[in-house]
Amino acid sequence: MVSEVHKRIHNAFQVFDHDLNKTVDVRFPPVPEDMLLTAFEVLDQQKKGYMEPDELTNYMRQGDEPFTQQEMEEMLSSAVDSDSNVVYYKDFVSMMILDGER
Amino acid sequence: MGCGVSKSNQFHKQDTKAIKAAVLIQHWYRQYVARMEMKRRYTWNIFQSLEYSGEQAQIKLYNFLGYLMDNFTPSSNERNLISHFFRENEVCRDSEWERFFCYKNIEVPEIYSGPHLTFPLTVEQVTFLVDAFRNKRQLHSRYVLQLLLQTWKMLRMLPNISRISTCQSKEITICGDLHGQLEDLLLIFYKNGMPSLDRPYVFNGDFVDRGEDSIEILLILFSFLLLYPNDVHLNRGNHEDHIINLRYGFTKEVLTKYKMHGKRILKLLQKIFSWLPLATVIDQKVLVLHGGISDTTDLCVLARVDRHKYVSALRPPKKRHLSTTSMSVDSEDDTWSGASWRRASVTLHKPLTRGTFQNLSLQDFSDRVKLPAEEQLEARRRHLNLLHSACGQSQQELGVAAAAAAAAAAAAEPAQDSAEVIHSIEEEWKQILDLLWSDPMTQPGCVPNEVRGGGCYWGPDVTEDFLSRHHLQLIVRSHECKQEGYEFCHNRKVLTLFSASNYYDVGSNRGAYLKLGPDLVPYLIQYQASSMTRELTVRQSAGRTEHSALRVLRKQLFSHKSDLICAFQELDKENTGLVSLNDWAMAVEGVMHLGLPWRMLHYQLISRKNSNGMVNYLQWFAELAIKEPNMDHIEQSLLETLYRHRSTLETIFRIVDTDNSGVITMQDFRQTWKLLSVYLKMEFTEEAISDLAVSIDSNRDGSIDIHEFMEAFRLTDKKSRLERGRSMFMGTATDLTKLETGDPNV
Repeated sequence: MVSEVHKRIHNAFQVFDHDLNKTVDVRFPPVPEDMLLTAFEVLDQQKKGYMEPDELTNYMRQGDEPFTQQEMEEMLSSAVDSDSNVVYYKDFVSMMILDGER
Repeated sequence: MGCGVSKSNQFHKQDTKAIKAAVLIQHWYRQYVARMEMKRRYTWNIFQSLEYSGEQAQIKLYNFLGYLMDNFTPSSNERNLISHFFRENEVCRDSEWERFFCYKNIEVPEIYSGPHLTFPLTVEQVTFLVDAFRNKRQLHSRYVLQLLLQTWKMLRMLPNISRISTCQSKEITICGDLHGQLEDLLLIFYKNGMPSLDRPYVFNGDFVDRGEDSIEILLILFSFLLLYPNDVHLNRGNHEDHIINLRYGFTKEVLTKYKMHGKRILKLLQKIFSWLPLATVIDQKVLVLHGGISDTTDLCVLARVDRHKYVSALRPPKKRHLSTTSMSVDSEDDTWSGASWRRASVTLHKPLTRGTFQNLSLQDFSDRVKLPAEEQLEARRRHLNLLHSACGQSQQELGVAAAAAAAAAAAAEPAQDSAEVIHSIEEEWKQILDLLWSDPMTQPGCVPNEVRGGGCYWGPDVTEDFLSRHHLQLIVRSHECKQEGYEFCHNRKVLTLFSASNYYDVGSNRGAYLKLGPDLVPYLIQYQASSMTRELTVRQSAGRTEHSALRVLRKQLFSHKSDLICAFQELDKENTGLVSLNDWAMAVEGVMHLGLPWRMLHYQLISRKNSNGMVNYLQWFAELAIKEPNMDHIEQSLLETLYRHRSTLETIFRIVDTDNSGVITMQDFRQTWKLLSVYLKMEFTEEAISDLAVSIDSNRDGSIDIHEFMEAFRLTDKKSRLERGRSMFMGTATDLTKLETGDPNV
């Protein structure tokens, strides 16, 4: 029980451990919008201006801490445009940044 | 880039770059989710703190009025004003009551287009009634009274604790708080079917207040009760209480919908509420009650009480008739009039200063209940001593004194009996209070529930003990709003069930209902009512809820402007006009007492700090300012007080409005202010009050319309929900897919 709580605390902090060095900058600089956009553009190799859900999923499953199924589903539910079934990442980023600031 | 770099190298670089990009996005997204979760939590906190502190305020007000009652001399105006409020329903012949509530002379006009009821009710009639309410019809007061009378007769026959069984294959459906939200009840009926012989229901209290269709919900529930008395069970909640109703909207709703007969309806409902059963036990294993338990809860005691004596759970029934019957000596003694007894009570027991009573909870008042017998005894002894000294000390008199002492000793015996009887009244009262008001906590033990002001917080150890003592396996209770509509705690031995979705605001929470079959394994179904015209994504609704919570909070902050400025100035000794963020948070919590994460919230509440991160508090207030009506001639501080205590003010108005007409006289209006000034320990000049009165009594007829008063000073809170009152009920198949089913194995 206790170790479970410890684990959860650990995971919660990890989210903010940007440099992956077991330290957390308590000043919490959020990821700047332009950096985020650039990141998406890197992933959008064909420069389409959008990403297919599968494409995005593929990338989010990479790295040291890949997204879980649940995280992926959550992200897609807010990222995917219901009409065209793709992720217009520019809009997605703007929307989320706005949410975060409000 | 790329000169002299081989193709595979390039790819590798691309990959690394892509992975870095992906990781960045992952980080950002997780940060976002964490922040959203935090927001959701503190939004919840905001609403819940405000709700509970409102309940606490109500109880404090009630205690204050009780204090006035007990400690002002009988001739005082204030006391008269509110004495009717505390007069218990006298022991009255039922037939007299029936005459009072008689509906027979109420005529139903031709143009009435609502349902007509004939008794005994039939299934068709009740189905038709439900439909009518769905279509926003109102039931005529004649039928309302008729229905309520039948309900009252029925309830009187029921025991305090209903014992039911799932026998064979019946599944029992249990619903939690509904709080006047008709949409949710209709949704439950739609998903689950209406009550019937094969489909028994238990409704676990809090049917009224806050929502807009409380009376309709009551009428539906009562109709089903009359139709299927063995298969529909109602438990009393803490809101089935006329004192709570004064503040939380039910009283207002009835008086608005039933202008002519509303008062009678409310009076009858008072009696009905007191006759509602206290709990239900299913298959001798599952206990269903509204609030919870304490370490002293005893189902045997609860089964024995005369529940109808507790018209309001906030005050124990008067015991005077008890003490007079057991102390026969009393009646001869005419020096012991009420007044001198009262004076004795004030001097003998530790005086409550006006400062302290506000901090007391109901528990603390239980001591005073014990007094009558003890102090009568004490007073009697003093009386005898006086006689003794008046007669002078002689041998004969010593004899007299001895005889008197013997008489006193003899008097002491019945006193002890009545003391015991009174003790058990107090015990009963606590049992009922705990049952209706308690909340579970994670820590072991049992402590008074200071937050609500009544009942207690009980821990998992208390649950274990209680369940084993009573041979039960599960407690199902309601009373607390839960985001998913339900929540298990205490090792899944306690289940909280809440059936009013979107309770704090659209999108704030789901509702849930419980199904129990013969295996007694809880199966939970969740839902969320929403208007046809409005569908918000989870993200959108969370945003809206947060938005309205913050709006409510800003209002609260603004209404405490003076106190906050004082607090800031305490910390800003050099009068710079600035405080640090830490100090700001500390000062705000010190004044508001809401236990909210102020530092986290400050981003939402303060638009900017200066270059050193300090808060300019005066500027902050300027930003918070609420548009006020043009009342320049009214003192600023008076307006602020009005605003902050608007809920209390309205409650006092309604108490003062003895005939429930919505209008009070000028004289009473002034008295109200006197009451309020005592309660708040503030001074209002006569002039200021006259100004107020004059500005509102526009037709100069010497009476004040409460509603107009509240409206004029913008004291009414627009409901933070959308205009839900006229929302449509979902009836199409496509909408069903949006209704979610819950996972019972959570």
